[in-house]
This record gives sequence, structure tokens and C-alpha cells, in this order.
Amino acid sequence: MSRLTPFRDVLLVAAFDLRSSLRSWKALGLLALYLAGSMAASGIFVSVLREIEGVLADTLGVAQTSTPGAMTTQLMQSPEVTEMLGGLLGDPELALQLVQIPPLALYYFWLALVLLPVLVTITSADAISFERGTGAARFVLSRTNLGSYVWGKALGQLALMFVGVIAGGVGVWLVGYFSLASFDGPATAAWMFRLGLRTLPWGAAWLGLSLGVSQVTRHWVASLAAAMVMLVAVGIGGQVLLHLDWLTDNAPLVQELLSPLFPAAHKTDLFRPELSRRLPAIAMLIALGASWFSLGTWRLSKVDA
Amino acid sequence: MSALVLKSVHKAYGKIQALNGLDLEIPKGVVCGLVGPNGAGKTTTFGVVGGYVRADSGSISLLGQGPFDPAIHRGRVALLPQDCELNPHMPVRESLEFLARLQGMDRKSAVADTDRVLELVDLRDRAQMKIRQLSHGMRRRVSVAQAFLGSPELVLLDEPTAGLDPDQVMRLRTLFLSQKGKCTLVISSHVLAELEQSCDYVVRMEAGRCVQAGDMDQVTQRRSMVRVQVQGDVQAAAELLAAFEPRVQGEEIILRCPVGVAPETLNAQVLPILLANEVKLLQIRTGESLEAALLK
Repeated sequence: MSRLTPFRDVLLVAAFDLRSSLRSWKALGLLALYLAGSMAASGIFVSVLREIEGVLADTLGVAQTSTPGAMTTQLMQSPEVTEMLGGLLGDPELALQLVQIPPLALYYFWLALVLLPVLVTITSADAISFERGTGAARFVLSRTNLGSYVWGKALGQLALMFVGVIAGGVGVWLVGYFSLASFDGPATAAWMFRLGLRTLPWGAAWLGLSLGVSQVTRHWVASLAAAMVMLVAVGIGGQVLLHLDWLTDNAPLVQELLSPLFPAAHKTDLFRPELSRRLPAIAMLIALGASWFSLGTWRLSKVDA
Repeated sequence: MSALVLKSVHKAYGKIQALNGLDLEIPKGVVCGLVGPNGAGKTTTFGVVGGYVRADSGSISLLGQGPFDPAIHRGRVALLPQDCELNPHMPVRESLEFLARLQGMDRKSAVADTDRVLELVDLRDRAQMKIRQLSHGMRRRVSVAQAFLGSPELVLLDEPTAGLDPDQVMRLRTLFLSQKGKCTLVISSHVLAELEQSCDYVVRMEAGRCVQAGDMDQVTQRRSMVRVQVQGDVQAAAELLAAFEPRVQGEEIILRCPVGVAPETLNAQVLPILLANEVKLLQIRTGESLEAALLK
């Protein structure tokens, strides 16, 4: 008799899931789309920089540069930009810290936070439901337990998400390298990698939601549709709780209690440079993802596989 | 010891009672055919035995160690659920190696065992192809192959030959016959002639219950009956064999083996009489077909 080895099984399922995802047209298409989207968005970012620098050059009465980015560093660290960023974030201290980061890396981080929930939902919503529908899950479940199977799938999808984040990063970096003057390649790459790692807990929260839904049904179309609905509901719900003035004025306690249950409440903290100030947000995001995921697992454990 | 014991197992899907107090016991080491009409509960039985369908009540014991639990039974109990397919994006070899490793094998053993089972189903030359690139029959054979990874003690195959061509059916039959004595094999199928050739034990289900179970020899009376088919006057031929108390059924003469007399011994006594009287023999066989035995 061969003893059950849950940790080994989780890794085996995760590795198989990642290899399988990278061979499916859907995942490859989405990764390519994400890469193209990141590059296109970076292109727009570079164009905006060019416009700003042009306006600045006209104002100062100096010649415009042929490639944008020559004045970016100085521009970013100017008191006006810092003040504007502080206003946007609602945190002047954080703004002061962020302007030290290469602008393209910061933009990449922001872009990843915006795009990841959608990417993760589309790639992962059918990860388990599809295998339940085709019966492929039964071959695995006759060899390991439900926990190892679903956590292995989660780890595999997390790895797939990281592949996407890295691919997007490479695309953004290349746009910067070829379009920006005085582009500090190594520093930007290092920052992009560090910031890319920070997207993992954010993505994990949305992945937990998506995979939780994926365990509730064996119909992949239904799970994809339900996950999209949940994505919109949780996304909008989080924004409403954070920014609805009526709530702030009339039910601040409700806002204070409920908003941490939505990923949006923890997004800003991921920008903070100090790990100690990021950790609560990271912990909450992972806990949120794990909770939604575990709810799905609990439901799956009560029905026929 | 029994390989599989189910006692008073109930399972309902809404108002439909799929298993209705199923009592079933399959001895160790047999090749068992599980037969019954559509809706008899065969697939649900496989499901509750394999642990992927939850029984509402009753007890299940596999290899004397309780209901299916991967911690106890992985590598020892193998399943081919009905209508289930392996991951379509992955190559055959990688899929089987993955499953072998999940059974606890190291990489080297998994590779070797994958080669072995692919050889069993005659698919070694397709090992690098993705599952989705295979024909239906080949995909089914890969699914059968995964059930023989390692050395399982109990193998449950639900409709393993569904949709296969006669050549592939014959190959699988040979595979099942080669497993006799190595493990307990439970095969569900609607093709009774196929089960008759492969199995030495048969269980018949109806309306979620077991209505008949026993050795194939006993059910088909292979060791207790000889059937003689002749051309021409059957009654006249039967009269020649009056000493053996024959019974005429259609174009056949049915002879019961007396207690202690084997069918081959009876044949040796009957055949000279028929040949001496120039009776035109078409066929002599033992017992009746499984289909006839079950439809009685």
C-alpha cells in the first residue's frame, strides 16, 4: 500500500495543471492578449509622456526631445506631480515614496492590478468545472484526496498567473526600452520584478474567488459566467463600500466592517514600500482568496465529484 | 475473502432511486461481469464503489477495508468511470505518467509502467500524441490503460468497450483474460456475448438491486448441459438419445449432465450414437448463452 503524500500530490497536480494550461489554446491566447494589452497600454503611456513633455517644453520655450522620457524623472519628482499623486492616492507620504520608483515600473504595477482580476477569472473559472464535466477529475480523485487535488489546481493556476505577470512585464519593459530616452533598463526591470511579486496576493484573492466558483458546478460555461458575475459584483461592491460618501456619512461602522472583506480595500497598501505596512493587506488578500476557495471546496465535498 | 461487498446501499437522484438496497458480494480473483438493463444502477454502483458518487445509506467495503479512501486504496483499486476522458490538452504519455506518479511511483517507475500499459492496449506508437488528437476508440483504450497502472488488486471498468470496433474489442478481451488470477476485475457491459467470453462470475442488476449472482458456469450451465444442434428431423435424433433423457427446444436437443458426469464425458457417449446413425450435426456446445440464461 502506498501512503498518501498530500504535499507531493499538490505539487504533482500543480505541475500537471500548469503544463496543461500552457498547452491549451485558451490560456495561451489569453496570455498573448494580456501581453499585447500591456504593451499597447504602455505605448499609450509613452504617448502621454510625449504629450506632457511637449507641453512642458513649449511652456519653458525649449526644444522638444525626439524621444519621450528625457524629462520624466525630473517631472515625476517635481512637487506638482507629487502633490497631484498624493491627492489621487489620498496619502501624500505614499506619493512621496512612489515617485522614487521608475515611472514605467509603477505604471506596469498599476496596470497588472487592473488587468489581473479579469485575466485570472477567464483563465481559471473553468479549471475545476471542466475536469469535473469531462470526468478527468475522477481519474485523479481515485489516486489522491480532494484537498490535494483542488489545492494543486490552485497552485497551478497561481503559477500560470505569475507566468502572465512576467510575460506582461517583459512586454512593458520592451516598450520602455525602445521608446523612452534615458530609460534605466536594469533598475526598471528590478522594480518590475519586485512589483510583479506584489501582484501575487492581489491575484490570489481573485483566483480564490474564481476557483471557488469553479468547484460549485461541473458545467464550464456556467462556472465562467458565474465567475464573471462574481468578479463584477465583488469589484463594484468593493468600490462602492470604499467611495460612497453616503456610507461614510451615515454608516461609517458598516463601511469600516465590510470594506476589508473586499480586495479593493487592500489595493493601495500594496503600493507601500515598507513590508511591515504591506503585510496586513497581503494577509487579508490571501485570507479572502482562501476563504472563497474553501467555500467552493466545502460545497464540492458535499456533492458527487 | 471478498473483493467487494455492498450492503443495503441506497442512492437517489431526486425522485429516481438509482440504488435501492443493493446487496452485492464479489469474490476475490474473479473476472466479474456486471449486467442489467439501462437504468439498472450499474454506473451508480461503480460511482459509489469508486467514491465519486455519495451513497445515501448502506455500507461499502473494498478489499475488506471500508469504502473507497485514496489513503488506503490508491494503487490498489483502479477505476474506469463511464464517459470520462483524460485531459485533452496533454499527451498520452504525460497523462499516464502523471497518474502513475500520483499512485506513489517515482519518475523512473512511472515511465516504465506507462510503457507497459501502453503496450497492453497497443498504443505505444501514439504515446506522444495529445489525447484530443486520438480517435474515440483510442481515447477509450488510454482510459483503460490508466486502470492497469501499477498492480491494482481490484479493477472496475464501466463499459470499457463502448464505441470500439470489433478488432479493438477483441484486443481488450484478450487483455481482460490475461488479468485472470492477477486481480479482481469487474466489467460492466451491455454486450453479453463479450462478457460470456471474458468473465467467470456474473452479477445481474435490475432497478437498483442485485437479482442474480454466481459463477458463469453455474449461470450458463456450462458444466451441466450439452446442446446438440442437428439438421433434419430433430425429434428422430432425440429419440436416438432417449437414454440421456433429452429435451427438444427448437432445432436443438438439450441434454443434462448426470451428477458427477462432465460435459465432455457426456459428449463422448452421445457423439458415437449420432454419427453411427448418420445424423447431420451442425453444432455441439455446452450450456446456454449468457443472454439466454439471463432472459429466462
